[in-house]
Amino acid sequence: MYNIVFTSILVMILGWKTYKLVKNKRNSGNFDDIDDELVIMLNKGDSNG
Amino acid sequence: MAKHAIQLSKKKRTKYRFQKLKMCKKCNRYSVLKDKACPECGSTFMGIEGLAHSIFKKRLFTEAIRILILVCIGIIAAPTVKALYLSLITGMIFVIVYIILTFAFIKSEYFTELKKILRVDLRKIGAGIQFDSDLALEDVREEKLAAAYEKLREIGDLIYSDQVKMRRVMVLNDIVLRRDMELELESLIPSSYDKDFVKYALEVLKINRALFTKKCIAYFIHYRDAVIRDFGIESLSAVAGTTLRMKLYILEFSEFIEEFLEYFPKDRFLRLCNILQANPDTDWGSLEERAKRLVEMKYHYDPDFKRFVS
Repeated sequence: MYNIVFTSILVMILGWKTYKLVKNKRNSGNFDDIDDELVIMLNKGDSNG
Repeated sequence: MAKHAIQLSKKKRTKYRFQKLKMCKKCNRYSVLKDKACPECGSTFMGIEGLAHSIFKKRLFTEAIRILILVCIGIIAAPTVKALYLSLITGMIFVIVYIILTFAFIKSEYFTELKKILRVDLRKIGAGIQFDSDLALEDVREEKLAAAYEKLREIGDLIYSDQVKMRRVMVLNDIVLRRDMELELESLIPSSYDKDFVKYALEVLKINRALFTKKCIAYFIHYRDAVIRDFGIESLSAVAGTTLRMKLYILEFSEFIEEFLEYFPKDRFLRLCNILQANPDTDWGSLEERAKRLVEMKYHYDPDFKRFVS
């Protein structure tokens, strides 16, 4: 019984971790996107300078 | 005021603009300047990618510690020896799978971390660039024009505001421009008419025509009345002459060229005639007809134009 509970916890952690990793990979995009996003956000409002 | 002769250093080039960002971990301030150390506290700047790597490594380490603690507790808390061995085996398999998973997705995880830093620290980045801009302004006041321009040039890679563009142009108008300098023009075009920009662009026209792109020519055409008022018709004629650099530009701005045909010096007009003759199948509109008429009227007896006279 103890081992079933322990293994279930570990499997759940692995499942959650895999879900997060896959989700991050899907949303990761590429460096060009990061670059453009940063420039757009910095220039929003045209307040710098 | 006499212009200053200065030497500008080469621009720091990076594949992506965000790679210019660096952080002083002591002051918690971002910068885009070329300085290696923070001007406030003197400590060395850390590049944004280095920062993301270090945060990412820390996160992995914390995760690894948590996993190990959990597995250890699971093993220690086992009620029987058999359960202890089973927990040990399960724990080891879990740790191995966890490590494999982490390494399989390491690239996208690092990427996510970098994105997170840029999003979370956006305000700090903006404040850091503002600080850099103030430093540049200080340099202008102290007449350190090379340092000021280099700072504004780095800032201009990330901030496209008219204010930054105008400051750069003002500094450029105070220095002696040379062909060997890494000059920019298109990136400095403001959103409205700016006399200083036009002054700078006309100066650039004299030393490097190649910098006059389609966007820049379009700017001059859009603000033609103001340009003529401030700099005279000759300046606009010089811009029209620049459009003869490329066949595409001639096609795009044929009406504009037509207006200034008579103002063109002989060499520019000869160039236009050569291009028109070399491309008989292209539809040049009324430009071709106007050019022919001008040849007949003005250059009829010129041997250089003999082949254009029918």
